[in-house]
Amino acid sequence: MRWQTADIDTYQQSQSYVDTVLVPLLSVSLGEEMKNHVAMGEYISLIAMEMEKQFRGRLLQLPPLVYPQNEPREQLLRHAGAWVDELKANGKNHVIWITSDPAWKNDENDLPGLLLWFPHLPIEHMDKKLQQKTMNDQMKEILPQVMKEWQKENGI
Amino acid sequence: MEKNHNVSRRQFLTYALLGTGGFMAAGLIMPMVRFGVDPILQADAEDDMIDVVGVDELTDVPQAFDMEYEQDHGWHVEQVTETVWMFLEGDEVVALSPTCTHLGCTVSWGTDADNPEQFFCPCHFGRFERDGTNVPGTPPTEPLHRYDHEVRDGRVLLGSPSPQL
Ligand code: FES
Repeated sequence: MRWQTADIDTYQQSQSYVDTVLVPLLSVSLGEEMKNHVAMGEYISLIAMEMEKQFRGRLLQLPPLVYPQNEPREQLLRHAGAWVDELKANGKNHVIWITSDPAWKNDENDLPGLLLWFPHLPIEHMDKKLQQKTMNDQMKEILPQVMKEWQKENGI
Repeated sequence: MEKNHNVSRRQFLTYALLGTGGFMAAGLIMPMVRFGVDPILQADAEDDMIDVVGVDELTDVPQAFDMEYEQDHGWHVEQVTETVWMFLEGDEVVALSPTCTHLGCTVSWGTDADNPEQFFCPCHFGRFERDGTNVPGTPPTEPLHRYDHEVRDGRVLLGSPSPQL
């Protein structure tokens, strides 16, 4: 389900079925690397949309956590931790973070929940058909990881 | 004077009742106009069948195909891609929507190792038979929706999905 009023009504009626939250992690920089950050952000937003479609009955997609590229890592992790506290307090068992920012790979163990890191693919240069196929392939790849996360009694 | 007054009061009542009656009539007619118009709009939508695949690509095993069309939201036109599960039942084409009738996740054919001959929903383990019937005891309460279809010159054209109940 999406962060929009129409979906939130459904969410509130079927809360017990929705135990997972999806949060895109998006880095922003206006420096030399700007274009790269924009492309990564676009790609991750597409992935988020596709995941929402696949898992919409069990997953609530939150607005992304956006941060400046050079924000200190401890600070970012603390921020993510505050989100997790909020989720836990509301009975959510699983959080899935998605990103293309390689910096998160080093923090994987300090970040509660499931981190899915996607190498950024240049889909902006692909035609519609190929884009769709790329997305479908990505979904097939992550399905087992999401299922594994769901098998954990208590994810976060 | 008194007489005049009475008449005008009666007139007033008449007008008032007519007014109320008119208002009620409008209340009754307006929805009927809507009901009358809606099927026309739907008939129009049904006429926009979308060419999805050649009949010769279908087998008796359900396969996923993409259906592409433009959706007019009034203020912008969006290119939409939808997945449809299609197979042959004898000579008959069957096209099922992949949207789980529980809470809307996407189902796939044969992805549950224990039930390879069924559609499976990964979210709450909903299951459906090949013809879309929901398996009792799993969360979905109604069958997968089925697309209207038509075969023209060896191509399968799909309309919109509707409940199988
Ligand atoms: S959304 Fe498919 S079983 Fe719940």
